[in-house]
Amino acid sequence: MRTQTASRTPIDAPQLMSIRGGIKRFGGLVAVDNVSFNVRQGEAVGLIGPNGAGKSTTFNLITGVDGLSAGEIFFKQENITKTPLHRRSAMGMARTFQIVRLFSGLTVLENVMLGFHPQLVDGFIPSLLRFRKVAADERRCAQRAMELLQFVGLAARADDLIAHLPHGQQRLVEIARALASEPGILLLDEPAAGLNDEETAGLGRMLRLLNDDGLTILIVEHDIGFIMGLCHRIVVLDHGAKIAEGNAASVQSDPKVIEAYLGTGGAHAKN
Amino acid sequence: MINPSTRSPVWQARLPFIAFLVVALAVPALLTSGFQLRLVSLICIYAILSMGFNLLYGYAGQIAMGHQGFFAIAAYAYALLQLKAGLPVLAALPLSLVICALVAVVIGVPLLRLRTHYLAMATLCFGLVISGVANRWIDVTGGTGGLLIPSITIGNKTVDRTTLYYLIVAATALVLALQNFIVSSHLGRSLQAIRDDDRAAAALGVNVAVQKLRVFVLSAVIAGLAGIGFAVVSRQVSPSMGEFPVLVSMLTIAVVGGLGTRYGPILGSIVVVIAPQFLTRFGDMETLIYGLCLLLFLIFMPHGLSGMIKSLGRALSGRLARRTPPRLAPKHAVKKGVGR
Amino acid sequence: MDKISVLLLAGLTNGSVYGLIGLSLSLIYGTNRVINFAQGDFVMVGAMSAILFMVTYSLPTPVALLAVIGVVLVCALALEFAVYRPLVRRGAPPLTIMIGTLAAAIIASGIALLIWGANQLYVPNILSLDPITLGPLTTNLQQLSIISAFVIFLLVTWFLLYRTSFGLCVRATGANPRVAQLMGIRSSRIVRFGFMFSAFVSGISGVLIGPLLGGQVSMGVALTVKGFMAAILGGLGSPFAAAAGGLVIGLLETFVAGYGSSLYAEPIIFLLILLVLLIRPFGLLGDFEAVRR
Repeated sequence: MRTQTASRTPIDAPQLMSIRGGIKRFGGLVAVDNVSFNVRQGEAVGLIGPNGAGKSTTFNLITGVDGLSAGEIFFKQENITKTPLHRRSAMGMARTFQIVRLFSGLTVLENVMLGFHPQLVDGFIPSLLRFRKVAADERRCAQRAMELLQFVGLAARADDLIAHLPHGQQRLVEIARALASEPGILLLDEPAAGLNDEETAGLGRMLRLLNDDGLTILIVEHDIGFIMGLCHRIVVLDHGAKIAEGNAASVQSDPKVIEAYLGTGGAHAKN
Repeated sequence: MINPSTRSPVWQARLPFIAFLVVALAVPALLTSGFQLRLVSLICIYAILSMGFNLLYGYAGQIAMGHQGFFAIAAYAYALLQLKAGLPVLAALPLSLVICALVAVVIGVPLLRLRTHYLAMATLCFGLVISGVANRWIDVTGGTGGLLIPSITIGNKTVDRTTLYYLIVAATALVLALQNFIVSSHLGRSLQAIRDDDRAAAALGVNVAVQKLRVFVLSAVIAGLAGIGFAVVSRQVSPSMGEFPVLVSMLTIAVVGGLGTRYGPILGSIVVVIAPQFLTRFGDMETLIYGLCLLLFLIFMPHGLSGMIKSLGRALSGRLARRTPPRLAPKHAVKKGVGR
Repeated sequence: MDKISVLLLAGLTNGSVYGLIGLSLSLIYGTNRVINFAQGDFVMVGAMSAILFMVTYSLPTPVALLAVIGVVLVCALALEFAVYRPLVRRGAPPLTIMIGTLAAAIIASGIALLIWGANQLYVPNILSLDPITLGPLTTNLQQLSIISAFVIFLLVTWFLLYRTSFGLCVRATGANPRVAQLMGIRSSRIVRFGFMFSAFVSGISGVLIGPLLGGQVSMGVALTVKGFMAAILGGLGSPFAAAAGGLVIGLLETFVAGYGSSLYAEPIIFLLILLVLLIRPFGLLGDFEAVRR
């Protein structure tokens, strides 16, 4: 269980990202109902809840894939509610997807190199005029991408096509790609889905390492054990609304949380 | 030195380009008849057209079935600027390309919001409008007869066939270099990302709408350049430049050469321009054989000639690599064989 | 007969053909998300085969009709087995399969060129071309038959899709192919139905419109394009909206030619469709269908 040790408690750290009064309606259905929480610098925050709780939708709102029906989102003290999807990445938000979304026509290395895109020369004509910089950037990116692949243990498969990789390795490539932009916050949407126990443990160790190094993490997961072992703080959603928030111990013993899970087959709780 | 984005030695990446230059420059010495020279010029022109189309469809995944419209627009602009506005060649050429780019921007901004079939149909409509107007606006476009292009003159001398050929080769080499530069840079990667999953691309910071417009305009200008070349070689511009057969040629070149490859356009153009010369001996069966070949390529060679050559290359180098026993050294950085 | 009626009838006649092609295209699209670029060539094959069987072989009309239907159905099977299946087997995306149907169209016109040559030929009319007066309208049986065929085929399609369990399977596949397959609907049968029914409808249309349009091998492409416009105009998902779209295009064609510029009629139509696509990418009736489903 991850407790907040005195030497490195993020409690006083500045707020990196917050969603305030977030509401998302799809027609008549309210998928996210007045959800507010924040993530502080250096924290690892887990977002859990039974199926259909609105976790992925909240994720999409934060990252900009979906637009808010009401409410605001702040990142690095800036109101990014209206900021388009592609600019949030340049600001330091990196994410992975519930179903791995890698680029099938590119190799593993090229996929990771795409993570550097916002840092590179923008536009065709400027790139042409600064072709030497573009070439140098390419070399630098390839190198950095290889380092990231080495970190996730996939350097040997750098030139393989995505289709040749098993699911677990594809996940790792996606994470490497997300890390490429040196993000301020890494958002992971069910990264352990489809991984076996060994892969899940390895993933947990990797994320722990990254967070210890200072990377802020927001993670949606079904695997409660995984969350408990990684996150300082946990936010629980049910039917689109926030029903609990706190550290692992308090959330686990919260009667509302227990009811939410038991009511919909709480066999998910592994601990 | 390793080319990081293709992971193959630089000399290998440059080799086809050099080969192309060598062959192209040697051609006038090897061929005797003007007709044959014209054929090779046509190969280059179609290669330019296809490289533009390839960037848009092969790399960025945007199916545009109206590029023959730009092929025609630039050619007509080139002709009209000289005939009606009296501009010299050196002004008419760039100005035509600018006009082409402007039309592409005006069309592209609304059209690129569409996807797949709808984009295909909308761009096809655009192409049909252009060819429809070209056929009918007799006062300006000369109707079905078209317009005659004045020959290019330097000083008082008309540029001769061979010099014209070299100019076209230069243009082709330029476009090829431009294409390769884009493809091997982060720009090419972002285009392919848009093709494969544009939402994920946006989540990684790619401004999808702007990038699509950029590549659309660029490919339109390249198509326009090819159009001007075609008009100069044919000494005339006619509405047929904007009609269905040109689109079919573009698609065929893409399929035969290989979509989303660097040298696919050139390989495909060689086949598409040369093959009909052999097919004429079949007389009436020409259309049928053309269709059959296109279908066979589609089914059995999805990556075109370019893909086939790459597979051959990989098979050969794989066989060479297998001769040396693999060394078990997992900690060392893995060096892949002569790569993609 | 006054101008409006003339234009109206001509527009409805041509529009019926475009509508039926659009309906066919929409139907096929619903079964496998593929745009069949060879659809207009089914019409061409219908018209040209009519010449072959009725004139060259002098078969009696009912036999000739059956022969034409046979030919068209064989073409549909050829399209499915020689083009669609091999491409799907190697995992080609729908746009590539569309190019495959384009290749099929080229092959079809190639074969047709060998049989009939490139010139326009006279297609024998099944019904009389003698003028009939219906109130203020002057028409003939052939023209009426086309419009009637349009209505009949619409009814048949409606009945098939909405009143049979097979039709339910077809609609399910159109709504969500993957789920339909998971529920046990065999997509291969649905796809075959799409190709064959569309070929049948287009073939008959060809026989009927042939005498009025003339039979030429090159007529396939133009018809495919107009049919596709009809399908897009109405919205790719719904055969009925596509049929309505065809009528719209047919009427637009004649009225723009009649009242506006007959010279620029075609480009104007294309421009209008372009504008429709820009404003409502899912077709004029696209939303309607989405709600209805």
